[in-house]
Amino acid sequence: MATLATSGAPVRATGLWKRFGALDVVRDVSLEIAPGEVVGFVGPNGAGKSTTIRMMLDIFAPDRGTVEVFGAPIDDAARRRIGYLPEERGLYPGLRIPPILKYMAELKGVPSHEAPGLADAALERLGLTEHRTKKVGELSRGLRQLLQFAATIQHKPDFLVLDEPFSGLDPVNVRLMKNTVADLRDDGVAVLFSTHQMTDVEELCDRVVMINHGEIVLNGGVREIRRQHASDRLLLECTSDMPYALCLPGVAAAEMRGDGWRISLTEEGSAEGVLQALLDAGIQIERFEREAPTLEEIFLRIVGSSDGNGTADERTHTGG
Amino acid sequence: MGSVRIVTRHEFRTAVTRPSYIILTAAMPVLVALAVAGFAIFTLVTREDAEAETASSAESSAQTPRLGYVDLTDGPALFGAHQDQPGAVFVPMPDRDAGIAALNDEQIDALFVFPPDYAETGTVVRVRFADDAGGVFRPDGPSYSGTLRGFVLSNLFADEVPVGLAERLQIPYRLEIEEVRPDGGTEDESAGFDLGRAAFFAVAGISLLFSVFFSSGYVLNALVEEKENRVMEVLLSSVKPDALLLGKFLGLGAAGLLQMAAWLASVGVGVLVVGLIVDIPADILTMPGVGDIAIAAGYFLFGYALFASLMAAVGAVTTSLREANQISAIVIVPAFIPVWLNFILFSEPEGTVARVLTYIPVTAPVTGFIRLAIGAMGPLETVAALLVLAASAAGALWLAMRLFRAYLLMYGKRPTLKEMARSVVSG
Repeated sequence: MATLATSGAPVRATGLWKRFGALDVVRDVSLEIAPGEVVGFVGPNGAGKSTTIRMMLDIFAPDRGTVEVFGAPIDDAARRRIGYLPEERGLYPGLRIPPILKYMAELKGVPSHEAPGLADAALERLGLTEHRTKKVGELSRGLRQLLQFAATIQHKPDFLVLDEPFSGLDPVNVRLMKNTVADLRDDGVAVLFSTHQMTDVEELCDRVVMINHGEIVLNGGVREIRRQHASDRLLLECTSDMPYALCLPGVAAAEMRGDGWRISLTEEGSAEGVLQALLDAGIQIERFEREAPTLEEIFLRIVGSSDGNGTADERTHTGG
Repeated sequence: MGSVRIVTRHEFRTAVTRPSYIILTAAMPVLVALAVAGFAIFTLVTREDAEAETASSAESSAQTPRLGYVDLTDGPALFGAHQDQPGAVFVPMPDRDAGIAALNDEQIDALFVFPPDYAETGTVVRVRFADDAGGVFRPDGPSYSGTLRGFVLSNLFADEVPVGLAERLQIPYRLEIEEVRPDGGTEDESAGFDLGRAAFFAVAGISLLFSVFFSSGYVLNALVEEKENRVMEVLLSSVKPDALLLGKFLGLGAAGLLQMAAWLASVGVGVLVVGLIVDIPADILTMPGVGDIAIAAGYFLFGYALFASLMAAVGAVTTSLREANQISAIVIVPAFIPVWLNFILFSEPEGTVARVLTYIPVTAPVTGFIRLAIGAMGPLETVAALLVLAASAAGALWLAMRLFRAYLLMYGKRPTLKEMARSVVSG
C-alpha cells in the first residue's frame, strides 16, 4: 500500500515557462494532479511534454513559474515519493538486476536492508522473478522495459510519472502494466501518463491535458471533453422503418449508416426537437445519441487547427 | 548528503568490480613481482659467479708465482728483504745453477740474476730455457717486469726513505682533474640534494600522471555511458545533478586512488624486497616528512579534482564514448607537456618555462612534482602554486556542474562553443 500524500497535491505546477535558444518550448503551463487521479498528458512530438515533466521533477529549472510537490518546493524527501519512467530510458546493461534495483531503491530513500525485499516484490508483481539473476543486457527489450517499470514502482511512490510507458511492449505486457497502474491508482497514487496513444488515455485516465507548441490547449475530464467536442450530428437506430428522416424538423441531412441513420442538424435544429418529433411519430427508438468524437479525433482537430488550419479560438480550455 | 553517499558507494563498487579495473590494478603488482623475481635470480646468479671468482682468486693466490733470484752483487746483499711483492714472491737462490735446477723442477716460475756489476750497469738477467731445450716447448710466460721493478725499488730504498715514499717511488702519481669556475668556486651539484625527497616526489608525480589517466577517465566513461544507455534521466529524478556528479567524483576518485595505492604499495614492497637482496641508499627507504606528504596530497587532491572536473565537462557536452575519448585529449595532452619539456625543467628548474608551467593549471601538478623532486621549489612558491591549482580545480568543478546541468540530457547533438558559453553564463 502506497503512502498517501500527507499534505498538498502530489504536484501543482503554476505558470511554467522554459526557453531553449530562441524557442519558448513551454509557455505558461499550469497543472495539478490529485491523489488517486490518472492524468493523460498528450500532445504531438515536440509539444513540450517531456520538458514540462522535467520541470515538474526539478530536472530542469523553469525560467518562470513554480512547482510544488506534496505542497512544497521539491526537495530530496519529495523526490523519494516520486516514481519516474522517462521516455528516454535504460539501465546498466553490464550489471545484474539485484544491484541495480537496490541502487535505485536506495536513491529513493529505501533502507539498504529493505531494498531486496521490495525489489523481489516488484519483480514478482511484473512476472520477472525468473529473470532476477540475469544481467540487464541479457533481457529482451520488452523485459528490460518491465524491469525499468519495476525499478520505478518498487519503492511505492505516491506520484508516478510515466512517459510513453507502453512503447515496445507486446499486448500481454501492456495489459499487465495497465493493470498495475490501475492498482496503483486505486491505492491513491497520482499518475501523470504521457503518451501518443489516445485509446490508452481513454482507457486509463480520469482527465486529459493536451499540450501543443508549449501551451496547454485542452484540460478536462475525458468524458467531459468528449461531450464538449460532440458534433451537431446524431446517431439514430430504430426498430421500425423511418423513411422520412429528412422531413424531421431541424434536420439538414441524413445518411444511412449500418443499421441506422447519421443525422446532421440545421443551425436551428436540436437533438431534443428531433427526439420529440420521432416520439410523436410513434417511431420505436433503439439508439439515439449525439455523435461524440474520439480523443484522437479531438487531438487531430486541435493540433491541426493550431498548426494553421484554424484559429486560436478553437482551442478549448476547460476547468479540471 | 545521503544521495552523495549512495552514489559514491555505487560508483566505487561498480568501478572496482569491473574486470578491466581488476586486471589493470593487478597488473602492477604482477609486473613488480616479476621484476623483483628476475632481479633476484640475476643477483643470485651473478653473486655465485662473483663467489666463484673470489674462490678462484683465493686459489690462484695460493699459487702465487714464485720468482727465483740470485744476488751476485758485491758487498752486503742488496736484495735480502721485501720478497713478498703484490702478485709474486721472490725466492733467493744460492747460485745460478741452483736457480736453473729449481726452474727446471718448476719450483719457481722465473729466474732473475743480479750480476756483480748491477750497481754500475743496472743490468738484471732473466734466465730462461731456450724453446728447444730438452725438446720440450716452454711458453715464455709473463714478463714480471712490474713486479720486478717493485722488488728492486723496495730493496734499494728500503733503508733510505720512509715506506710511504717508497710507494710513491714505485707509483709516482695518480692524475685527477678538478673543474672550477673562473672565480675559483667549484660546482658541486650534489650539495643539498635530498635523494629520499626526490624519490618520493618522483614516485608521487608518476602516480599523479596515472591518476590523471585512469581516475578522471573513469569519471568521463561513467558519465558518457549513463548518457548513452539513458540511465541519466532516471537517476536525475532521484538525485540532484550536483550530488550525482559529486558522488561520481568521490566514488571513482576513491577507486582510482585505491588503484594507485595498490600500485604504490607493490612498488614499495618491491623496493623493500630488493633492499634485502642488495644495498639501497638509506635515504630512499626513509619515510617522507609530514610537509612533503601534505604537498603531495594537495597536488593529488586538487589535480584529480581539476582533471576529473574537466573530464566531466567533456562528458557532459559529448554524446558518445568515442567522441568523448577524442575530445578528452584536449585535457590529457597538456598534462604531459612538462614530461616532454623535462630537459628544460631539469636543466633550468628555476627558469621562466618551469615557473610558468608551475602556474598553468593543467601543467601545474606534473611540473610541481618534477621541480619538487629536484628541490627547485621553495615553500612560498609551493604554497602559491597549490593555491592557484585549488582555485583552478574549483573553477573547473563549477564549469563542469554548469555544463552538466545544461547538457546532461542532450542526446545526438553536441552544443557549439557559443551555446556552451551561454549555458555557463546563464547557469
